[in-house]
Amino acid sequence: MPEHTPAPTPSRAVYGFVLYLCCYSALALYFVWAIIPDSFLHSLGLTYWPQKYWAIAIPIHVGLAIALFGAVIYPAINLTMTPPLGDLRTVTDPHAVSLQDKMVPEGGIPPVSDIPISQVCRHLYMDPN
Amino acid sequence: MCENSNRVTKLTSTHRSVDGKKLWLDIISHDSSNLCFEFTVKNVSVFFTGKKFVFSVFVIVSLLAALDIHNPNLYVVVVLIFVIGRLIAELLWSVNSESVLLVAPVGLQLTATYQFGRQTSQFIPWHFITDVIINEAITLHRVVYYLAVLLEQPYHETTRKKLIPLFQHTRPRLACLEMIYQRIQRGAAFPEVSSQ
Repeated sequence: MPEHTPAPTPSRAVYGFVLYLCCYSALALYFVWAIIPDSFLHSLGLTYWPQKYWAIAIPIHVGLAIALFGAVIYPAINLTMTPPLGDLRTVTDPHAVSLQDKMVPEGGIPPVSDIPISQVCRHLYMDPN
Repeated sequence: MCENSNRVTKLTSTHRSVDGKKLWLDIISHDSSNLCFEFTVKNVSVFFTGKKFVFSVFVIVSLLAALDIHNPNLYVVVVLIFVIGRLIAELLWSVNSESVLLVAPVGLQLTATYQFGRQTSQFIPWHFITDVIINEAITLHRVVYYLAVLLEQPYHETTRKKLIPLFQHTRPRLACLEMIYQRIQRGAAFPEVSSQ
């Protein structure tokens, strides 16, 4: 059973280095394709490239998708998940444990429970007089 | 009733809303026994002398002057419609003051006063009310403290609980809310429901 650890094992180091080399090669290839004119590439015999239009279009599409998601869709998902101010989910939830009085031992420590909101407010906001 | 004006006491203090607008808090106790309170939160600035109204009127007048009736420019017309619509919406729906009238064994009445004196109100009977609390919750881009009435509908097979937030349009800050909360808690004793 292989151990699940985040440790840098030798195989992971090799994967990482291969990925690093591939990333730099892909970047160099992208610049070669985008900047060097078609006439020069054809004269070398390399004729089968995609249209240079895509060298501009794909980064713009990806950037726009990221901006649209991060600025519109993700905040919208968060907003639909926050309960409105009149919702009891801002105060409690179905997993709250309430303390029944008969469970408190005499002179002992009461068990772990959720303090009801009225008691919390009285402790926080009433000045002691 | 209120001719006995030495029974009716009124305390006024200035506070700020969550957005920074200046507010007045009036605490009126209609009775010398702590049974009947009225808390009113009012905007200090009058709408018709405020910067926004004057600026809107100025924009509308200048756009109308730039508009040629016989050959109207589409953009000017669209912007004019938006500005006039926004001004009408503010005149109709912006809240001037909100008040909570608490009569101890009868109930709670929440009243919102709009521009030109129009009022809408909501009444909560006393036996529904469990407690009045200060809760904090997340709205859009900030965390807001607000007073809320905790309700429980008795005489049902499954008692349903509800939370009604108070002062939702004029949102006072925590200092103002604490004053109201302490006054209410010292005055009225709420029926405690065993399970919360």
